[in-house]
Amino acid sequence: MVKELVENALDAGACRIDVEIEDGGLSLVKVADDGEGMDAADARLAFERHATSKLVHPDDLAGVTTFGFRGEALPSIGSVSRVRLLTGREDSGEGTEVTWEGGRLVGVRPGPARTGTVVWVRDLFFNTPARRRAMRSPSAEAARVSEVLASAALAAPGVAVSLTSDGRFAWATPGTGRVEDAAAGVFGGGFVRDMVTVDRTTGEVRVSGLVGLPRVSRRDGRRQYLSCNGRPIAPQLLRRAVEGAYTGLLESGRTPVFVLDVRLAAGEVDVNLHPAKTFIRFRDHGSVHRAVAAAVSQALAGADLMASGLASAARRDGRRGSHGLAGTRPDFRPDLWGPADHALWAAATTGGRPPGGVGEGSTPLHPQETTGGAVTPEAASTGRRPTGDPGETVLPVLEPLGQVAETFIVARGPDGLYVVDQHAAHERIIYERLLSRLTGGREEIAAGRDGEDGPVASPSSQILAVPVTLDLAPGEAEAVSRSLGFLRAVGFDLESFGGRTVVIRAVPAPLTGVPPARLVTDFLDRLDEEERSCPGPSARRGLEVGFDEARALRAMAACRAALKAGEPLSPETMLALLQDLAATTEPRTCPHGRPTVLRIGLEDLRREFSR
Amino acid sequence: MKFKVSQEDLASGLQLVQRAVAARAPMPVLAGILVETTPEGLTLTATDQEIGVRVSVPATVSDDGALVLPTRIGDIVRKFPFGEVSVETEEANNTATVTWERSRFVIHGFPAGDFPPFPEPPERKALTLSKADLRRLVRQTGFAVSHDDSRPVFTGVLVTVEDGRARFVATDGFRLAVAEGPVGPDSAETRGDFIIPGRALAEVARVLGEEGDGTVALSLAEKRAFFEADGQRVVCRLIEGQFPPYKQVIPKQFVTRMTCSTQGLLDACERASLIARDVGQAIRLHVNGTSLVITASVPEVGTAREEVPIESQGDSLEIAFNPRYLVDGLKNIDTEKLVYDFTGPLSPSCIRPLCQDESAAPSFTYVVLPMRLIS
Repeated sequence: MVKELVENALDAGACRIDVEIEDGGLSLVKVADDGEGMDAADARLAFERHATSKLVHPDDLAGVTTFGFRGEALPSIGSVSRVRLLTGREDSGEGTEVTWEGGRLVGVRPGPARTGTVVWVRDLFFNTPARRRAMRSPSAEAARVSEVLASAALAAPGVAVSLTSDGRFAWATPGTGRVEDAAAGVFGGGFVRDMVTVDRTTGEVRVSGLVGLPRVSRRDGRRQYLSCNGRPIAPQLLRRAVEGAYTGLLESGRTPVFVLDVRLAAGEVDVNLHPAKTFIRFRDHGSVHRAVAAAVSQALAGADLMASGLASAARRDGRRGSHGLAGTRPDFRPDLWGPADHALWAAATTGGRPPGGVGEGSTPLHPQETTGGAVTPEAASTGRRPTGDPGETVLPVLEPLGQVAETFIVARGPDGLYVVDQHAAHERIIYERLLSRLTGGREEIAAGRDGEDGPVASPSSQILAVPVTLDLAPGEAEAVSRSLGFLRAVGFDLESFGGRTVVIRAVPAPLTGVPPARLVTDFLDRLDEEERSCPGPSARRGLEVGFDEARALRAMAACRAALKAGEPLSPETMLALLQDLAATTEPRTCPHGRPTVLRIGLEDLRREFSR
Repeated sequence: MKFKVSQEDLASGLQLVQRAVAARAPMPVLAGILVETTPEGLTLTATDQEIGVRVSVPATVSDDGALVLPTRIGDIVRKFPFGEVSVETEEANNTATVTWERSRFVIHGFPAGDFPPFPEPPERKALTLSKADLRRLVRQTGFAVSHDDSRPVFTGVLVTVEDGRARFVATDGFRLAVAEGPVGPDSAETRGDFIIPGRALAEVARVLGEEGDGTVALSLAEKRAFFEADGQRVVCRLIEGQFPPYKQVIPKQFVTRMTCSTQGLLDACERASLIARDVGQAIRLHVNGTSLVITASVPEVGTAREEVPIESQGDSLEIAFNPRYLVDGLKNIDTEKLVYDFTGPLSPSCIRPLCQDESAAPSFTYVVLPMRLIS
């Protein structure tokens, strides 16, 4: 309900929406906006079913950009609660006040003149006790309202949204039009400091917003917000596109945090799949998927994922206000010189954002932060790191100074001091070497993915002595037969015996270590309902699973083969290791997603020594 | 229970059974070794309920009894130098006192009654095999089992008796190994799929040891297989399921047949595979008249070219293989020369030892499927 009211407010062109709830909304929901308001006639009609003032011409239906147009929200709410609506238009001298109770019009009278609309919904479900009992506890409902309102606020950063619950201010967004500010308003400034800005247009699709640095990833899949043309939609629609871009950056089981908006022509989207309109259908899901993957990859490739302990401490200090003296920072020392835990590593990755208020907090200082030029669209859309000359953009040439605890290499770089975990670094080097030997398949699949269904060179495949018979669910069998051409092109030999049985006669040679049936079922698992309608790009991505597994095997091999902590290294070895690391495509993390490098910048050193 | 035993015998007996001890035992008693005296002397038993191993050790028994001791007993006995070890147990408080010269250890164990009973083999024996043949059959098939637990049938070896011969068959889905050997006179034909876990067969081979003559009796019950030889016993659970119809995979004809020196081909393949040793990489075989050319080429590594003299019949042929699969099979050809049949560049190929006596059926057949390469 809050969603419907807020959407009405947004459709009215509001710049400011204030929401107040009591008892999680059960006693009161008040939504006040400063939108265009309604005149007396519209206000009276507002509670009649299928009355809408949002369509001026019949033609408007084809390109629906407003949130709603069916005229169902207010009548539904009005039938189960006591509603008071106060509205006025800018040009009219006085406002209108409409009162409904349990579906009956109680009164219409002139109200005070104001621009905008205020809706009070009291005693929700007072006349439907069964429905009222089905509501969760006030605190759970309040959390839900906050979540729904947050996704609306993040999708519409140009609107100042605030939430007050039981008389207490909960949060507010400033309405500056910047998603960073909106996110800071909802989640606090700390949240934004750990985010990287995304903004990229691929073809007709513009993807913008924020994605979290690996260190703020979560296990519960929460804090994922997606909107399309300003409308909040279910994040799972494009979650895989985002996650794909994090390959090799996150530890397994962790999900990235993101706030993303996808903009494309209204005709390219069908929003009316689901009454709540959070599940929508893109006419070309594949291209949207690619656009999102490309945008996130580009943003991550440019982000300074490297650790910088001092900077983080300084920032944390700044957050608390600049009047603090060094001696008065209780958590400064332990954080800085304690064991290299995640917090220490990650705080650094804020990409050089200065401390302070919300507005300035997102000014990019580091040129690296928005560097995207090195990323080719191909590389970006496959979710891979740039391969061009990443050493220059990601990790500078380092000169080893020595070893600490026979575990960490301390090195000098042009912009500060670097500490490298020798095991993690070596793991990354070996892993990439092994990956590059996944010849044939990997490269061809990568090439094929961007070749817009062009001919794909056939990689080598291992023929099975005993073909594997696989019984599939009806939908899966169809998905396989639709993807048959692609699967053959990458080295599978599959035969469909009609019905649901598929026989696997050959598998891609680089994947012989993985059970054949699992290759195909995993492939299918990645084709969810939405994607089955367009097998092209998603089919390719589905096969990434096999590679994921092959990659996981290699990550394990790399871990075993890598230098261990506690091994003394000669200066030559250290130099070679640092050079090899700089030459990898992702020197900042090991294959398991743990950090390899900690940077203490010159600026940080200067600050710490008060120079 | 009280007995005296030589350190060497006890240590080797404990080592044989130790592998069957459950690594992560659901019941603590399964993490131990049952030590008991029987009319035959001293027996040691361990089981993880998939595999059970029981060995007898020559010992001088003065008092009968039984006790389950932790595997640590093996570690202790192994550290004693040669000599006589005496063991005396106190069943009342489940302790064993192990004495060697002036060393004395008191070990806490579990009551023998808690240990699961060792299954008795059925009356009817399925077959007897010479130890040497069993060792060979295990060696020639064990390497080809799959380690993928998602298809349990492939992790085992199919055992059948047909026409007076025992046949062991193993496949991991990419290649197939079939080994045969003569059975003793009291062997019965088997019907049905008896699939013995590859891991259990490896234990059998270990318990039998590298040397020694004599015969091994194999009994097959509905759910279990029993191996018995000279008082050593291994029992294992059979793998349930249907073995793939392996006979269909073995080619009956050939389009190209070559014979060559087993060692020559093996060495050439092993050398070429040093270039193509990562997963997914292939070596190519070009069969043409009297020469076999083996090549490997990996862009960032280099190339290899090997030539092996052969005799051949039929068409010339070019075919590619995963070198590991080829080498695995060649290592198990025990004759000086081999026969290699090809049925086409993308269909099964078959390696057999070349017997002096042409009429003798081959004792080993190895089928390997090729790779299809980008041209």
